[in-house]
Amino acid sequence: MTTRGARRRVPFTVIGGFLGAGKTTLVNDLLRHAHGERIAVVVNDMGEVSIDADLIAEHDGSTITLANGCICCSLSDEFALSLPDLLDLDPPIDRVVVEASGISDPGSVAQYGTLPGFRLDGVVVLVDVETIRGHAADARIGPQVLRQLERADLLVLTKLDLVAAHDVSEVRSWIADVVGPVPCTDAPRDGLDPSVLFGLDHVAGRDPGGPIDHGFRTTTVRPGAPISRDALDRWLAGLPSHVIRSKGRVHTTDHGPVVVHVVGRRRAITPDRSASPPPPGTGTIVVIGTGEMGGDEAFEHGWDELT
Amino acid sequence: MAANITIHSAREIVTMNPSNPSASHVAVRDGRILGVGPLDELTIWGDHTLDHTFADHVLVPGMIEAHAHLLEGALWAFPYVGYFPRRDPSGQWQGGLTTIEELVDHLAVLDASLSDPDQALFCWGLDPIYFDGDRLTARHLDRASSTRQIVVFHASLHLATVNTACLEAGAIADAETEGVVRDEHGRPTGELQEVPAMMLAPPMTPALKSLRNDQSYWTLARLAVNAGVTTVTDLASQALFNQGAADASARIVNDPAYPLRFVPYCTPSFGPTVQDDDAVAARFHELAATNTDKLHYGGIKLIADGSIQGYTAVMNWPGYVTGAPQGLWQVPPDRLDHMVRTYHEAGINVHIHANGDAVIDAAIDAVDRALRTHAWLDHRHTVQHCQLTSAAQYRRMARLGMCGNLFANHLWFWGDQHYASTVGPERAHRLEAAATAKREGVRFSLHSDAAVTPLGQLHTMWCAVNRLTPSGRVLGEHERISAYDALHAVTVGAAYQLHLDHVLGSIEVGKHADFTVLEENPLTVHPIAIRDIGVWGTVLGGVPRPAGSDPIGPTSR
Repeated sequence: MTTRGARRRVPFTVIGGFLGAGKTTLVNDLLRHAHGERIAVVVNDMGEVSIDADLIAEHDGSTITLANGCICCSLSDEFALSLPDLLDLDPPIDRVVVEASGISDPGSVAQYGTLPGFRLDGVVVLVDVETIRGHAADARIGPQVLRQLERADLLVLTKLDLVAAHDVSEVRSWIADVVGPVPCTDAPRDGLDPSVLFGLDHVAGRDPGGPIDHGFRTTTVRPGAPISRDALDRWLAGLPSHVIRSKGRVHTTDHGPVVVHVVGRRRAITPDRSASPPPPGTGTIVVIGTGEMGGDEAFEHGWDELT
Repeated sequence: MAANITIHSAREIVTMNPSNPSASHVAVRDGRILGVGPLDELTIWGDHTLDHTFADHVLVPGMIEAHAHLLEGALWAFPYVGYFPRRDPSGQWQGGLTTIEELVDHLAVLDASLSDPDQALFCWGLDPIYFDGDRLTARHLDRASSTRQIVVFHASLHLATVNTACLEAGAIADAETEGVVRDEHGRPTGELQEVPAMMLAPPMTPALKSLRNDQSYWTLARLAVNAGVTTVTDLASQALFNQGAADASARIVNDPAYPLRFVPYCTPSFGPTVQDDDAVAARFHELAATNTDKLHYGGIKLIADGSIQGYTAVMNWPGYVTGAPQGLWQVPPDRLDHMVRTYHEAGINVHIHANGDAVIDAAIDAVDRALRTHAWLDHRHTVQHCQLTSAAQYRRMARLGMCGNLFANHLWFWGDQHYASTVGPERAHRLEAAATAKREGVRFSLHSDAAVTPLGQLHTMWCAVNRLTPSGRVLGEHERISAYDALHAVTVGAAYQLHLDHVLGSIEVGKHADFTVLEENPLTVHPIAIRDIGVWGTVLGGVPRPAGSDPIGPTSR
C-alpha cells in the first residue's frame, strides 16, 4: 500500500453501456491501437476479444499479453479483490480500462478507480443510437439503462451508420432531456481515436487549433495571469459541452503546481509532483472537443474573466 | 457369499418411501441400501453384522441442502459476532450479541485474546437491522480497541463497519469512494458500503482473499455432519472457468475421508466468457463427465436479481412499501431467455436465483419459451429462493415442470422486517409459500442459503412448519406445512430438483446409504421442538460420521 501510494496514480477508465452498444468493438480497438501505452484492459467477456494471433505474446486462459505490452484479463468475481495487483505489474502499466457488464451501473464499477494507486479518469458510456430509446422505454430494464446514462462523464454515440442523421439529432436532444448536458460525441465509423477517451498525451504535439482525427479539434490554452485553484476549478466547470477532454499543468496561486484532468463532466485537480512543474504564473491546458468547438480565443477570454 | 453386509437397528427408520414408510432395520452393502424392513426380512441377503449403534436413534434419509455456498465453511476462519446464536464448527454457540454494548464487550475480549498488536481483528455476521436505535459506528468499536484495526463484516456481505484505527490506517477520510458513509461534518462514520469502499479498509482484501482455500471444504463438512446434512450444493461454483476450483473439489470431495456429497452448480458470470452460452454448456459437460458418487456437477446457476431486504429484488406492482425503486436486474430478461434456452437445449438443469415476483415471471417465461422449441419435459429447472412467488406463478411452474427451492429461513431471520418495511403484511404472509407450492403441484425444497443463514435442515424445516418470527408473530399461518412435507422437501424434494432422486432422498433399496441420525422423530415431536432435536451425526455411503468438535481433515498420504 505504501509503495503503491508513493507511485504515480494510474488512470482508471470505465467503459459502460447496454448490451450491443459497441463496448467490445471499442475494447478490441484499444488493444490494437494503444499508441505505445501499456494498457490493462479488464473485459466482461474474454470470448469476445478478437486479437490477431501474431499480436499475442502470451495467452494463459485468463490473461492475454500482447506484443505491444498491453494485457487483457477478465472480469471475474476475483476481479475486484485482484484489481490492486495490476499496480504491481512489471513493467508498470500506464492505464486501466474496465469494461462494465451490459446491465451493470458503470458508476459503481468506477468506484474501484478511487482506490489507492488509481486515479478515476472517467466513466465513458456508449450509446447505440438505434436501440437506446427502446431500451430506455422498456418497463423492466429501462430504469437501469437510464441510470447508465446518468452515471456517464462522457457519452459516445455508436452505430451512427444504421440510422438517418435527423434520427441522431433526435437522440441527442432526447439525451439532453433525460440526463441533462452531458458531453456527447460521435464514434466514427472507423473507430474512436483512443486519445479522445484517454487524454491528449499523444496528440499534444500536433498543431494547436488544428483538426485532429475524425473531426475532433484540439486547442492549447495558457493562463494570462496567476489563478487560484478554486478559480481554475470554476473555469473547468464552465467549459462548453462540446469539450470532451482536457489535460494540463498549471501553477496556482494557493496550491502551487497542479495537474488538471477533465473527462466530459468529471474534472480532477491534483498536485503536480513531476520533476519540472510549470513556474509560478504559468501553465498549459490542452483541450479536445468536437468539431463545433471554437479556437483558442474563446477559452482565453473565459480564463481572463476569472483572474 | 461375501459378508460385508451391515444391518443397522434403529428405534425407528423414517424412510420417506410411501410404500414402506417406517421400519426397524436397514441393511447396507457396498455403501448402498440393500433392504429396509424388520430384521427377519433382511437376513435373506445372507451373512451380516448386526449393528446396534443406532438402537436408540431415529434414522431419516440423509438431509440435502439444495442451496448453500462453500463460503459457509470459509467464514469460520474468523470470529462470528451476529445477533442470532450460531454453532461454530466445534459445536459451540457463538454470537447472540443483541445490543451494541454486548458486541463491543465481546470485541474487547477478542482483542485481548490476540497477542500480536499489529494483527487486525476481522469478524463477521453482524446485521445492524436488529439493533434498535443507533447505527453501529467507529466510535462504538473504538471502545473495544483504539489501536488495533477492527473490521466487522456484515451478514449481508455488502457492508462493513470499522474502527478509527482502521479508518486512519486506510486514510479513509480522504477517499473519494462512494459508499464511505459520512456524518454531517463529512467525517467517516466507520460504515463502508459495497466492495470498493470496504476495500479501503486495509484488513479487508487479505481477509476476503483468504476465504478461498481447502480448509473451507473441511470446515463445511464438519458443520454439515453436526447439523445432520449429507449432501450440500455449492450454488455459485466457479469451477467452469477456474481450474483451481475444479481441482480442489475433485481432490477433496473424492477423498474417502470427506463426509459429504457435494453438488456444484456453476455460475457463468464468474467466467471469462459470459456471452458465449454454447461455450459454457460445452465446458459444463466436460465437468459433468468427471462426476462421481460424491462430486456431482448438477447444472448451471443463473442470478437474475438481488434480495428483498436489500431492495434489489425486482418487484411487480405495487413494489416495496417504502416506495424504493423496483430493484435491479442482474441479467437483462432477453439474455436470461437466451441462456435458459441454450442450457435447456444442451440438457443442462438450470437453477435461477429469483426473489422478486417480476424476475420470477421472467424465469418462468424463459423456461416456457425454451419448452416451445425444445421438448425436454424432465428438465426440473428450478426457481431458487422463490420468495415472492404467487399462486398463479406456482400454477405455471407446475404446468411447465419447474421446481421451487424456498428460502424458508427468511421467515425467522427477516420475517419481522419483511412485514414492517419491505413488502408489507399481506405479501410477507405469503413469503416462502410452501403450502401454495404443494397445493398447486410444484415439487419444492427448503434452504438456508448458508452462509447467509446457518446450515441446518432441522432449523429450516422448523421455519416452514411454524413460520414464527423473533417477535412472536406467525407469518402466514395458511402457508404452514406439515413436518412430513417439510422433511419431504429437504430429502426427496431436494434430490428431485438436483436430478438425484434415483439415488438419494429416501431410505429404500438401491439408493446410497445416507442417513441423518437423530435423537427424536421430527414427524412426531411437537412442531415447535423440531429445531431442537439432537443430531448424533450422519451415515454417508454406509459409513457412520458422528457429530463432534474435532476438525475433519484429509486422508494422510
